[in-house]
Amino acid sequence: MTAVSGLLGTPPPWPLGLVTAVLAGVLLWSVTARLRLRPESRAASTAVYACCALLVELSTADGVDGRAALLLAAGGMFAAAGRRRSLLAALACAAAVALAPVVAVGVLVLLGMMALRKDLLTRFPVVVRRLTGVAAIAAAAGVAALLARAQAGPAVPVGVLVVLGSCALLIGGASWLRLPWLRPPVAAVGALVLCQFLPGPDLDAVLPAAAGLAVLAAVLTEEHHALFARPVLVGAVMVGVVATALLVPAVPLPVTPSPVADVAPVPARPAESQVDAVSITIPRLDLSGPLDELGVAGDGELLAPDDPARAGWYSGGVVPGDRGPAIVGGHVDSRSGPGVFFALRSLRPDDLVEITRSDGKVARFSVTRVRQVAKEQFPTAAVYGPTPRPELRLITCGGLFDRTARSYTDNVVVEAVAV
Amino acid sequence: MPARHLARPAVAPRRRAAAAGSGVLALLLLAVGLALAPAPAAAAAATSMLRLAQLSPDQGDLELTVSSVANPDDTVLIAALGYGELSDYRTVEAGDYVIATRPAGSTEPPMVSKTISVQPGATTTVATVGPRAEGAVTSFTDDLTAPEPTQARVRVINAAPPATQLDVRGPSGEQIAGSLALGAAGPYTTLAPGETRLSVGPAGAPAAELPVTLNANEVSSIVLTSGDGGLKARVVVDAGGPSVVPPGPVHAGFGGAAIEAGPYRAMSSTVLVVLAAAAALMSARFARSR
Repeated sequence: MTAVSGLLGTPPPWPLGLVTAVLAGVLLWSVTARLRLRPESRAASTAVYACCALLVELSTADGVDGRAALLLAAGGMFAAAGRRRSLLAALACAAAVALAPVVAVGVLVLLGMMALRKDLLTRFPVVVRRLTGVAAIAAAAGVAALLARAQAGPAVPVGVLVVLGSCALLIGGASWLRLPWLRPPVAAVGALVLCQFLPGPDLDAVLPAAAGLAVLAAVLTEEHHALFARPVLVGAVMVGVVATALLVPAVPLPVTPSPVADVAPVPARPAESQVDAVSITIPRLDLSGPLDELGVAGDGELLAPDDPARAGWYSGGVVPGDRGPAIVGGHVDSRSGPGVFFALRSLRPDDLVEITRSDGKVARFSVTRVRQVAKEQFPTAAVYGPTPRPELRLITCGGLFDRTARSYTDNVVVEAVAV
Repeated sequence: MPARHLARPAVAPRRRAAAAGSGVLALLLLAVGLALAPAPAAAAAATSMLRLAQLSPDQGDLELTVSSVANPDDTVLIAALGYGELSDYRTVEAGDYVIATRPAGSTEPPMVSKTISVQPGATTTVATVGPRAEGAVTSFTDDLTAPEPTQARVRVINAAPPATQLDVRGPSGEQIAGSLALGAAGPYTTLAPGETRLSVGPAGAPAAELPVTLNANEVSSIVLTSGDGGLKARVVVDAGGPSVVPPGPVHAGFGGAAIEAGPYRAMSSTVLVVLAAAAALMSARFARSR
């Protein structure tokens, strides 16, 4: 019992979560065997699962929490074994939903599809069964929307959403039966194009998504004759459901908090300065919001804003629009998702940045340069050095996240000049 | 077990292998994608800048027209400056320019003109020097390199006729400029910020003590002018920055949307890539053997 309560209690630390996710993958292999899928399809679906897990592992700060995935895969085992064990399967699914509410999306979709495919509610009239199926899928969409709206929800990497969404499109789309060899590249290219329109993830997140899609499309190329046969359908949705369960991040490894973060900000504001920067607008990023004041820590380092959703300006320095480089900083992410400057690295030269000041003036800047620099080689002179004209520097974090140091390796610095 | 698999029409083995092969290819793509570093940063274009210094005491307010030799329609007007004043910098394309001065607001032909060559990325000050009768236009290059963050970088410009040769010394007697000719700019020197005094005078003659206030992390030109009250020093900030420069990088992220670094990343990636690759390879093998 202690093992069970331990399993359902505190999320596992990083390595245990990954091991659990791998176990879930192995179990998924057995589930597809029980469903009597052909070996190449089983192997390919396991590859899709592994890609999803990899994507989550790499694109979340704290890695994979595989417990819900493991429970779901076990539920699949029970369900595939026969009706008598359906109760066990339902219990496993319920436990998984309790662990990770996002799993409800996948389970509801699975139930809805099964109802529509005559695998559920067989004794009820056709109308009731179909209505139930549609209602379950609609409920899944509702839960997904609710989770997406609530900021406290799981950090869903866009890449994973793309994989899952495209899976649904592929399973539902019956129209591309011709030219099957075109499907893998089309699916991969489609995912790449789609991700181009989403802020944030670069190739690092997009390529795994495209790869996973291509593998899945390869399976479907083989299976299109039996695309709507029960085992294939259940197997495909099962992969989706278990992959959804990966979306819950594991707890971070315990680390000693950095002393810098505990030092109270020192107001570094020159007394004579009367004007404040009030708000920032970056049309290209669809970003508009108020500006806090940034102070410096006891050791002089510039502190980022307290709130990851708000940017701040270094009030001990230059007022935006006055001569010299004004400094605006913002977090790239919070502990659970993107921060205010998440998409900063996608700015390009000639993009416009506007800062509204407390005297009513709007300082307009044009981006001249966007670069990512290692924190050890932070270009202090280029960022803070004197300039003859009003300029602006936007600073956030970038590069890889060092989980042990709980810090990013790089800074993203945007340089802009007044226009 | 094969007999229990789904009933299906026969599929050409080649097509099956191609499909499985595309899966393997996709995994290779994945590996490449993970190895890819973020896109290189866009390079900044070198901009050239120009400004006017009005160093002639008897010429009144002057304006400056800057016309590109290559494209005469491309003319920039730098407006009205009094004696001892410097304009803001204007951005210009690199190339040759004809510089002409005339009284502010007038449309009469230029009094003095000169052709200068603006280098890419250079910062240039064009100065009108001397009395009206023998007025000339000169130019000097400004060096806006950042000083040490806690220091101020200054140079002295002699705009104080009739003093033709001035010695300028800092608060502790160090020489800032020696034998500075009228209309010339001295070399850049680093001074401590704050209120300080410069000793200025012709070589060998008694020096005047001129107060100046300098800020840290600024590059300034100290313009020496002459008038009824004798020599005056006027500090013109060429380039300004925050007077308190925070050292080091900014820690602005909690990792909630991060790609993880360190040994864990390598380990976990390896495990999952091996799993994905093994499954894809098995898929290909099964497909070929069918």
